[in-house]
Amino acid sequence: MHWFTVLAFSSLTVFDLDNRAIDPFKAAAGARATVFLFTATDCPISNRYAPEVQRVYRAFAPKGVRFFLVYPNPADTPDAIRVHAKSFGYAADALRDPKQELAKLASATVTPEAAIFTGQRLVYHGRIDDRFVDLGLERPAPTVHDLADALTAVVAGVPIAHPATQAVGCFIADFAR
Amino acid sequence: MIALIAAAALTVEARVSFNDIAPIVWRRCTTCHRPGAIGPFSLATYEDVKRRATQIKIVTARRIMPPWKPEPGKGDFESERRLTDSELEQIQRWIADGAIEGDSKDLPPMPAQPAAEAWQLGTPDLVVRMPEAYTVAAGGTDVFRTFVLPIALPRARFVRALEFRPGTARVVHHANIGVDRTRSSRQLDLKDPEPGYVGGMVPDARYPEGQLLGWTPGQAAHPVPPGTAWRLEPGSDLVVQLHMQPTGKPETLQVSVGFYFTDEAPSRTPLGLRLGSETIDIPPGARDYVVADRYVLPVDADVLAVQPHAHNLARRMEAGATLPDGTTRWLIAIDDWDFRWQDVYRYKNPVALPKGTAIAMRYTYDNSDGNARNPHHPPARVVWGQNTSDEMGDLWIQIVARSAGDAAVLADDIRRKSHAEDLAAYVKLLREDPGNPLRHDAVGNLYLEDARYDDAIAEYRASLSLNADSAPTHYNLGFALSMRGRRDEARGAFEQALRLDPEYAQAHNNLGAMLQLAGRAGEALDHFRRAVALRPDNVDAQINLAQLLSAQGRAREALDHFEAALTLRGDSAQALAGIAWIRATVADPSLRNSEQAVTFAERAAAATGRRDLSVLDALAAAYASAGRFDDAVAIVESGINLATAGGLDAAAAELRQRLILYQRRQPYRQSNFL
Ligand code: HEC
Repeated sequence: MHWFTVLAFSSLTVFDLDNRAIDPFKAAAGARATVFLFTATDCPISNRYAPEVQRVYRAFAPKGVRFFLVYPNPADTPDAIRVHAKSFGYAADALRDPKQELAKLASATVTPEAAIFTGQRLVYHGRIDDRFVDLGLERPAPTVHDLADALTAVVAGVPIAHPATQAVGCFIADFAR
Repeated sequence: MIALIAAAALTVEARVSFNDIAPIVWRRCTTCHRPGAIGPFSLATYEDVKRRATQIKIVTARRIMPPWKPEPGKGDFESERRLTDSELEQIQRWIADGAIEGDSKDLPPMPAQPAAEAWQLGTPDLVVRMPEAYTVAAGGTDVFRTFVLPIALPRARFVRALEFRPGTARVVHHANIGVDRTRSSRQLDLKDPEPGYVGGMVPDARYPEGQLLGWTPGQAAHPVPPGTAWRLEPGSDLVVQLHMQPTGKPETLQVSVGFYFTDEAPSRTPLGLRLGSETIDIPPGARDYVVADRYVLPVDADVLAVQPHAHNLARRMEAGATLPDGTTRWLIAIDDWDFRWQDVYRYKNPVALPKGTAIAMRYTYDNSDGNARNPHHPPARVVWGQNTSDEMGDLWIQIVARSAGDAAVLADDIRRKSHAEDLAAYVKLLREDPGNPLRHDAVGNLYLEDARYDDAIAEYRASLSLNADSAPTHYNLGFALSMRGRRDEARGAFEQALRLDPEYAQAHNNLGAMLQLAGRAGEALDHFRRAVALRPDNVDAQINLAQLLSAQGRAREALDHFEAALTLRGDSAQALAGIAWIRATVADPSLRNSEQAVTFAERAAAATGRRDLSVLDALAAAYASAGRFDDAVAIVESGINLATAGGLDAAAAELRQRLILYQRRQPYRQSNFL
């Protein structure tokens, strides 16, 4: 049934922190939705989102949503990621995406950026919320919680109002230069 | 053919490599972007910079980085961080050319960066710290907290520089720094269970006269201009309001501040002139609310620095000067104001403005939803206030009169201006919040400064009818009553204050003064002693106690307290004259010291412009004790004239008795002095 995406995934090489190649979609089998949160150990904007990511994780993990932190920067080693996840209190499993294949599949261009898949269908990608309007321009508090709103819709089985939004942060393409 | 090859070689060479831009990065970015500094990552090596190339392209092109808000050509400031146009072009071309490394053998050596945690100005003479570390939570909105750093200072010192160290640089976005000589800030700190307290600085925590103290990341520590050191009194607290930005994980920080002293007393004191408004009231949705203000210089003056201040609704700021000949000069212009990058801007050369120059400022504010920084969503009415959800509009101008003789004129003029504005602001706040006793207190305090004692009394009484338990309000009421000569009522008010707060040193002191005037010297002495025991650094109480002891003939003890007062305030005329009087007139020869009496009394007389009767009395006694009877006679005669002119008959009569003595070439001796 999912022949199209399966084809794309067959070449996907992402790793867990023990350097095992894994297929996150298999790992997430049975979940109502899968969320990939693209981050980097030294991107200040994505680091500042850590508490918000935890909040969303705590709210939706019990509702059958599977979360992965994804590190698309090849310079982020498993050890660096372990330290990072610990100091920022991340609870979700971490993946490395050194060739940025998952990022491409998820249409993610910056960290932090979120992608929601139901099965293997990309249903949302973009910002976590609208706190950052642009580099150097920040709201005192977010006015729209895009990721949480999208997940609420997914869990309720209704369409997502804004399936694609623009995230602000560190450019994933630069990590590969 | 040959020409063609040369051209091709040129194009290849013209490709910008990291070797070309590294010096720009090191000069303009690495100060903040290195371990231990505020920049959230390092920008020093090729790897560092290449990895952020796209972001760097954007933030430099939009001039977000390096952070520097003033527009070029509108004020020539020290430590300007702005990239020059050619630096910017080089960076942009490097990225457009593919952000190549070039031959690393050609990379110029990186200049040594001082360690981020080293004192830029060398080892400080005194370091003060936050008594406890504070932990900023991982997330949430920015945190504004004020911390009180006690200063262990045995005697007053002149400060030539302050250096601020954030402790954990990543978190501290900026700091406002004030000095509190009262205990107001400490009290707020005590009430808040965590280190420091939530919110902004209280009015008692202020800039030292004419200093603009603040800290922004990446800022070089600045000693004051020569001759403008400021006086730090013992018993003061340093008060530091921090704007802290969560980083995503809990961060612990402990600010320290280094003081650098000098023995050189200031030869001129700059003043802080504030232009702006304290009656800001912006309707929701307004996009171009304007705050404008102007001030005409009463004397020739030099502007040393400016500090624009507003919160998150301000968008554009302009300030300039129109000289009497019609020429105009920019003082500063900032488009796209960013609260997070506020700074004190110091001119490379003082801006010389002649008498009659009009200094004007104009800020615009956007309270619509189109302003992403709007603290209210949806927009709401925003009024003046210290909280970041309120708004402010100040332009602080550090200014100094060109000639020392004009300093007082300028100071008075500026004080009048700011006082009138404070009053307007607080009356407005009171009108909107009449059930709040603190509002009545604030207005009462301003009336007090204006010597409008009856108005002050009315406000304090209104405050007490809303909350009878405020010791400071009873105290202030007592003070206002005493100034109106209503001594019995004043005594009652001070007693009330002490009933509520038995450790209220100032209330003990003033109650003592009331009792003394009522002829109840014994009780007065007890209260003065309490005041001094509670606050040994209270100069007034030390002097009151010393004077009463002196009048009671307890010379030795009186000397102790006059001397304590003198250590606290080296130029206190009352302490100098008090010591001179005892040293000149004491019967016990082991305490007498005519030479010191003359020196001290002359200093006191110079400080009071020879217009203070007790000082003149002491000076004459000192001359007489030193055998200089002609000088003594001349001084007493001038005192008698002064007293007669002022209708002070009793004093004149007393001085006449001394005159007779000195004409007979006899010194005055106090037989009752122990
Ligand atoms: C005065 C200190 C300072 C200087 C100088 C400075 N930066 Fe920054 N930079 C910061 C801080 C602080 C941040 C974190 C974001 C913030 O607080 O606005 C930052 C963030 C950045 C970012 C990430 C953008 C973002 O919003 O997170 C980039 C890229 C950057 N700086 C590049 C540069 C470059 C390039 C230079 C030199 C041309 C430079 N900076 C000079 C302090 C500085």
